[in-house]
Amino acid sequence: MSAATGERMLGRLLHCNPAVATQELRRQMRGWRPFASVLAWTVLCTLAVLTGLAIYAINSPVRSATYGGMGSQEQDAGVLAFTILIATEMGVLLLLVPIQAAAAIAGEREKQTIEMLRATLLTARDVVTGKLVSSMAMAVLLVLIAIPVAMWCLTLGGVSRAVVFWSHTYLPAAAFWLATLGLVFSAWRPRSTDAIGWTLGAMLVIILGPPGFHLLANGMGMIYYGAASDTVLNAVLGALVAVGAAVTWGTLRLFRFLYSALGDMGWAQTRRRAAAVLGSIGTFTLFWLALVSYAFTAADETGLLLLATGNPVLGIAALLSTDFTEDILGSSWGTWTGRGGHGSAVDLRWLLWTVATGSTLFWGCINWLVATRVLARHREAMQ
Amino acid sequence: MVQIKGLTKRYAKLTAVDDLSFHIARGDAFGFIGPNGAGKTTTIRMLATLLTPDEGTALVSGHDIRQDPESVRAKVGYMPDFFGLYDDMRVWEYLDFFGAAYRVPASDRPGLIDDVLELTDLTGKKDAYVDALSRGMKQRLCLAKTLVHDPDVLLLDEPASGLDPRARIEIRELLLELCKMDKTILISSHILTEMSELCNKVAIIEQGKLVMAGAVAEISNRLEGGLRLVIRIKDSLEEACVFTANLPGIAGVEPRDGHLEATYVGEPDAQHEVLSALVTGGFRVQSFTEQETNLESMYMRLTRGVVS
Repeated sequence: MSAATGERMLGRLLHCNPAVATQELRRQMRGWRPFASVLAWTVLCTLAVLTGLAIYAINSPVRSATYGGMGSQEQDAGVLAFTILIATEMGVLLLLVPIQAAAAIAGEREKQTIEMLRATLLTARDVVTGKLVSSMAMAVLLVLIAIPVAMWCLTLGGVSRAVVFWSHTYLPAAAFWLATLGLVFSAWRPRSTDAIGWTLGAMLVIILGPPGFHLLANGMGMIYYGAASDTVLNAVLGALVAVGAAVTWGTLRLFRFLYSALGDMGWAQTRRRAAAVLGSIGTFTLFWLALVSYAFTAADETGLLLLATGNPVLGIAALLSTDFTEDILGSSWGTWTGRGGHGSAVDLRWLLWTVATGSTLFWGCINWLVATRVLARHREAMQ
Repeated sequence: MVQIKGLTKRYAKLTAVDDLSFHIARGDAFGFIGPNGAGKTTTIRMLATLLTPDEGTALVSGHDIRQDPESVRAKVGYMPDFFGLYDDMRVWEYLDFFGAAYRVPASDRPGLIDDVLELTDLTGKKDAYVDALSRGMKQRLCLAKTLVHDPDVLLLDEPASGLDPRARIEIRELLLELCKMDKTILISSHILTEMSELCNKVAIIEQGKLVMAGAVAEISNRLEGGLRLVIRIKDSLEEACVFTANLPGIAGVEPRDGHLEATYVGEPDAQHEVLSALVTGGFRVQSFTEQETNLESMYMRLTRGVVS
């Protein structure tokens, strides 16, 4: 296949000008570095599995926890090795993808290449999509490479083929979410270090915020069950999730409003910007915390809605942990299917996988849209 | 080809470009001159559709920069004053990327890349990494990039800044070549001697306002109150001075270091009549020339060195 044909196919696939994607892939996959990365990654995955086996050998026997509803206590070694492998994959994605994405557009600005790029016929969508492809390319490659290592865990027992499928299809979705989050800040901030800081900060708020707030709220005795009917809580939570997309957009509008309003008060630019950022992020964080606190308040009934926040760490944890699955889904699944009590773990996880993957992709798409809008609107500020 | 009408750009309380209007015809090499902070770069960025004017507009190849920026971008090749390059790309890859960015069909790109590399004298560096090029070569590569989609108008912001004399001359030769190819060039530069060699028209801008625009000789005429003639005569210089002062079309004459400097305000094509009259009057005329326009002195007279 010629380079021109490849470029044409990529353009059709992405529905945009593939110039940026082609250029980024060409640069990324050049020389010895990608091969060295792949080799190092394979070694790391193998070490993860071996670490699982070593821990099992030291602490054996551990509590039985099998995936896919099958297995016995002897199969714990496979479960442990697989869990460490997935945690390694997720950990690397959490670091690699957002940092690379956050540096993508802001880096162009730093290198003074953005101006020439924007003088061409490339649209903000072309640039953001191209950068997204490049940010995800290596991540997807790493996930694909890890699949044969995950298959090794199958032979150790306790891990079903379904769970390998669920986790390794969810991880690229998580990479998409992480990459688009990085691109939002990359499109906004002038320097890559700045964008990386903002991205990691936002990740902390979104990923660690919910369990952190849950612990805090429980500790302070703020949450108590039965304070309001489940129906009311579900309705409120459903409504909040439904308008979640609007909140992301609203945060940007709020920033613009605060910035201009503080400008009228004659504040210096730096103070004005800092106050607008803090105000917007504060409002956004409060919204998330309110949303999550509702979710945890009615955990039994609203577990799916909790997953609908698109948090990739919660998503992968839900797919791997049997206890978590039954805790958050058990009663609602039983109620909805009319089976009463708990549904089968396999059935539950198919539902979980669908909700977790779907919501992660949904929020990733929202991030992608926001990044495109930010880049298009901050045309002049980009220089 | 480029028509600017009342273009204005403000940054908070600062007016960077203030009601700027001028016209550039097809094939013109138009010099944009002014002190640092005069608004040259802002104007060029507005023409490249990178900045939106607060008031006024401009037509580039018949397309409005506000209404139809995409069509403008397709017709314009833009080279910024400060730019970075993708150092880890090969020269042909860099040009191929910009060709793709301008939607040049993939099948047409190899031929176009070869053409612009030949024009910019970089053919031998086609497979070299951008990182390995000298400063002058990088500047030429950037110019090659602006040509890869065959634009009608070139917007060049200080294309020769920071270059050594040889690289400057190479860039100047290249720009002269582009002028012959009927490209319309708007070029901003501080190197006035080169601008006077390269440009047939100039605009002088200060504090965002247009001071004067037009053909270099025309501006000089306006400044001097007419065309300056340098007449070298053997002997009887004072007599010749009195004689010349009484000729039709002559507004004033001064004797200087063995020659006369006369201000001619008559018909532009009738200067020969002055020469004929002098010869007929018995004066031995050794040379009769128009004084070369000095862009530097014009610039110094027109600007005050004030920035916005």
